[in-house]
Amino acid sequence: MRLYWQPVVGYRQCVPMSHNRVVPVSSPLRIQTGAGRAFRRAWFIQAAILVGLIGSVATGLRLQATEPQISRIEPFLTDQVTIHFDTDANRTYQLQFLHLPTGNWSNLFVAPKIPFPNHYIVVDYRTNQSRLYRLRVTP
Amino acid sequence: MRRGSLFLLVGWMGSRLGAAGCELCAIYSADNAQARNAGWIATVSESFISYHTVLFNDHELSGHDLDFRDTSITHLVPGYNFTPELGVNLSIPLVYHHFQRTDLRYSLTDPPVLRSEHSTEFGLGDVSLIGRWTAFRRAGMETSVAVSVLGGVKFPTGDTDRIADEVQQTQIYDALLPPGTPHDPLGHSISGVHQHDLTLGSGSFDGIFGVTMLSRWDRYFFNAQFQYYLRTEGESGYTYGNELMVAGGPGAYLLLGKSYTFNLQANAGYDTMARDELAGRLSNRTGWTAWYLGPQLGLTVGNHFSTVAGVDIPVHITANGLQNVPDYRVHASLVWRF
Repeated sequence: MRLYWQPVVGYRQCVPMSHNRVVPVSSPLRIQTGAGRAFRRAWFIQAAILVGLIGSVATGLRLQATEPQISRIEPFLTDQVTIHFDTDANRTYQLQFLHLPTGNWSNLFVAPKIPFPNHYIVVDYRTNQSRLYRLRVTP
Repeated sequence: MRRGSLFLLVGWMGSRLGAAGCELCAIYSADNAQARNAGWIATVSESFISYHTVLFNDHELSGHDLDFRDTSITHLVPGYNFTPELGVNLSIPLVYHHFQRTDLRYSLTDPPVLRSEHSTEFGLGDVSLIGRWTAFRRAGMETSVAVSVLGGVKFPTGDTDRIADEVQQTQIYDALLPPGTPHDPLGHSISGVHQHDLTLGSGSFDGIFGVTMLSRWDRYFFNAQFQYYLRTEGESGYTYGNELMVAGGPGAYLLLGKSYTFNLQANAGYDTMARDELAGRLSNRTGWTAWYLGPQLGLTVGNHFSTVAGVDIPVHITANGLQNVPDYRVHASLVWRF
């Protein structure tokens, strides 16, 4: 199972759909840690790392509340999957899939801008090929 | 002061006409004190409620083009008093909703679809048959007191298609979630105007209970009423929450002529409705409590005609989840005693 991260503003992640597999999506904020072990001896560097870590945690907390995330993909009935994601208030979310023959992203579902958070479940048909999903948010 | 008693009772009942499900209100408008003789009574009452305020967990939402609902209920109430103490009334509501709602419609085969409705609903609501027994009465020239007990049944005569649709959406949403996932049975909805708000009937036989108290001293009066609605399971297993209404307040006769009276009353109201149950679970997106204040005017002309009109302004409302709640309520009624 691989997660594809796409560093484009407004996109959180891309998740490949696999046949008959549940795809729990973990938090990407973990990649922020563990960067400073090589600089442990210099106190000022340690201090800088400490500040950086605090900043990373703070940034991570902020991003966790605002960045889109697909929380779960799982098989449904015989030939479908359900895709779960949560939304923040006052933002529009587009659940998109990659159309492999053309390489274009298409909207599978658009969650409207509503003034409160919500949880969505989107049904999609399974095929015998992989499918990439991503969640786009505006603004 | 006999006519004064008439005005007192009519005015008091009119104060409750704003409640959406207030079958007793219309009944009591018909049951005026002057008509405590045997005979027929006819009442037409109207209540209009504007639901343009959207609350999400008690916080008011702001934005453009929010969902709304305007509800008008016209009650036609023929009644008959067998004796001065015992009477019966039939409440026939005609319900009209003008609304806008945007909600998701889930499917087992396709992604959910966002659907907006800007439409109306009109039709017969749930008919009620209610009996009255005046358990206590003392009437004199300067003072009078009367206490009555009410009891009745609301019948499932109104259309329930919207409730059936809402329950079906709940079942679909349940099926999409992994088994055992905790969620609200109305979790599929993103609108403050729910299908169960727009239904004409509940599909249930409900019990209606009430106690009323009327008191007068010279030109001044004070009225109070308690109503309780015991809901049972209705369409597709949907059960509305039980509802308690308490209302009343002081008033005074401003004009007392030979053939007319005119009064003004200050009303306070308290309504609380428990959470609804559907798909075997209580919904935390239903249930609310509201406090109202408002003036009410009353007029009687001759021995047969009386009318009341008033406004209820909500001073405090709490609501669970996402719901549209009243901005104001306007009510009026006409009573003719044969």
